[in-house]
Amino acid sequence: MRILSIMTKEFKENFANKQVMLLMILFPIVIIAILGFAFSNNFNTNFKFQDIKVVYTDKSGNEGISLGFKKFIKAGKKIGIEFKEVEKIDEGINNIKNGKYSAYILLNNEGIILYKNERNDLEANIIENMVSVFVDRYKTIDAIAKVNPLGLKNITNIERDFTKIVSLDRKKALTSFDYYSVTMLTLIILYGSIGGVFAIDDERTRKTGMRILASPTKKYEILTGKLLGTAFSVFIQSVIIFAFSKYIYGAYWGHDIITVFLLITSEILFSVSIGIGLGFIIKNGRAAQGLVNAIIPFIAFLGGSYFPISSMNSKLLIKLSNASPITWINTAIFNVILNNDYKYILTAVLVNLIPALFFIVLSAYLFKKEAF
Amino acid sequence: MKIVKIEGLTKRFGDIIALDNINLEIEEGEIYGLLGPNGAGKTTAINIICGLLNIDKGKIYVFEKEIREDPDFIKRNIGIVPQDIAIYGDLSAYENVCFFASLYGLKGKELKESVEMALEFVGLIDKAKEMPNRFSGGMKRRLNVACAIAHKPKLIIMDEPTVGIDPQSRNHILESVKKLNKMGSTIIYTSHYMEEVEAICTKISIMDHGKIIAEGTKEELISMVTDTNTTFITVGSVVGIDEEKLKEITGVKAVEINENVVKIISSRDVCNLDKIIQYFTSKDIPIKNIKSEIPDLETVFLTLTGRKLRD
Repeated sequence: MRILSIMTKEFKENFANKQVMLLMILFPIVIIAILGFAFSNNFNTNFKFQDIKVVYTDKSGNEGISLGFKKFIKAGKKIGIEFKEVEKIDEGINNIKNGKYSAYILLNNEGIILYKNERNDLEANIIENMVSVFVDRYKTIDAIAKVNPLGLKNITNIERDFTKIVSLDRKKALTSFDYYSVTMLTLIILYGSIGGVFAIDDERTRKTGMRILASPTKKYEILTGKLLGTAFSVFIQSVIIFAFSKYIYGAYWGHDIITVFLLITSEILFSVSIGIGLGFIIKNGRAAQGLVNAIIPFIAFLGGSYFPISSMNSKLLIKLSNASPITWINTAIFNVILNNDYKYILTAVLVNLIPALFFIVLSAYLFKKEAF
Repeated sequence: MKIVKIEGLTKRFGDIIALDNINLEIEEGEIYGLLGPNGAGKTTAINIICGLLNIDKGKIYVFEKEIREDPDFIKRNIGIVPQDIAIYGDLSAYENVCFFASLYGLKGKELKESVEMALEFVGLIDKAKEMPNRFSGGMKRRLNVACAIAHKPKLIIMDEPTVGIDPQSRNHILESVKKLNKMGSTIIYTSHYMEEVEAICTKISIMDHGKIIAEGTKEELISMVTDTNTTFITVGSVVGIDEEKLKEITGVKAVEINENVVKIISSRDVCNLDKIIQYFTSKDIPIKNIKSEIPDLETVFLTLTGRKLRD
């Protein structure tokens, strides 16, 4: 009950501060529009399948696989994808490293290995999807052949399946508005940490913290109420920005909104927990805010908030970008939205929740030692 | 019932001794004044009673329970009006009181009624929906009081609740203290305004440098430092005044004449003003003015410490 009271109070206070609220909501909405228009030509809106170039080596020694793969190539060529066979594996890998090809497919006796060119995320992901469908399909055919060879007659046209996959990907070409809707949202959530800072500092400066502590409220109730109340405020802000970008700007958020918001929630908990922790450590709201304001642009830059880091073709920056939690959250969200790919979700959630947990524990420790 | 009992309480902040071996007892139903200059240790004592500060030495019993024995029970039954105005400027007056009352476990209809009663009590019910950011200092102080009383505490601690406010709001708060006391709450009232403490407190402790230097009723405290009253009588002419005859009046201890002012020092426990006036009228000496100088708590403090309260 007390947690709910504190939560509600935090929420009301956050929304009562119209200046901050407008800034937290209007700022990203305006920036999405500005960057969306300014960089509209830099994004792959006119994507063509002719842009995809694939190199492959068939060392499977399995007639069945080779035959299936030839059909796969035929289907790809029909929609404009360029295929080139190379003899040597090194040559294929080098073609990916130097950026000449989007992907390298190696068929050997262990199965199929796909090498992707990280600089051409979209093209490489399309190939990855196609290959995964091919593999699934081949496994099915292989299984049926072993049990009931006659059943193979009923297998539908393999070419049509690839076309279906590719046509789905066609819709997922990223526009500047799609890009900045995600990156500006994840950026503004970081500023939610300032809300966390002042959830603690305001109680100190207004002396209301002393009043709360004089009541029978437990410290864990205060901390939980503040964390959840501030996080809920940022969540509502995020929903507004999301809705505006989706329905007004027409940004593409994919089909799995729940997963996207799961990721967003983990980032909200990350930023608010850090803010609360800083509120206890620094004991001066303005100083803590200054620190947050100084760090966020750097984290955001590395995380690709302003433009994709991969577009700078710098190995150092790409390596450094891994240190930014925004990199992980953006990557996870884009992969869910564009590719229905969930493999980065766990990493992104852990990258957010582990520091969040650390800061919550630290805050509890500092709060136990002294009052506001 | 002893609402608060403190035995040998000592509190240090580093090398500074904030409270030095304090002993005091507050009975149920009292308005107990803690009088002392800034830095005397009043707020530290209050924060300890409220469970906001740990003690270094000594024992504290609140509602006859050792303070660490059942802190929840003690906190539930205490209302604190802090020295600083501790309210949320962005929440309405109603929301402020409602929030703090909810922390004491009030909910639903009981919460609503208690909040309205508290706002009514401090005269802010018609401002319930307004934001305190737009309130005057006095109104904020009154809201500060409302936030402390909505849960109907048995013990209300008011730490300098009238600092920096207009006389009207000050009177309102002082009247509220008396009313709350009549309604059954015991009050601890700290102030460095001796006239407030004199006006409302039934028992007073004078604190200085972390120590209680005197304790008792107002009269008991005054009698500690003086047993006389001084009367100044301004007359038309001092011709014909016989000092020896004046000294014969019961209770008169000394008489001094300075120009046309006669200063008469009498025992505090003797009422002799009527006889003094009768003396002057019997001699046809016209009286232009009479002024009595009764020692107050300021005099007590000055006598005990050698300093004024607001030095």
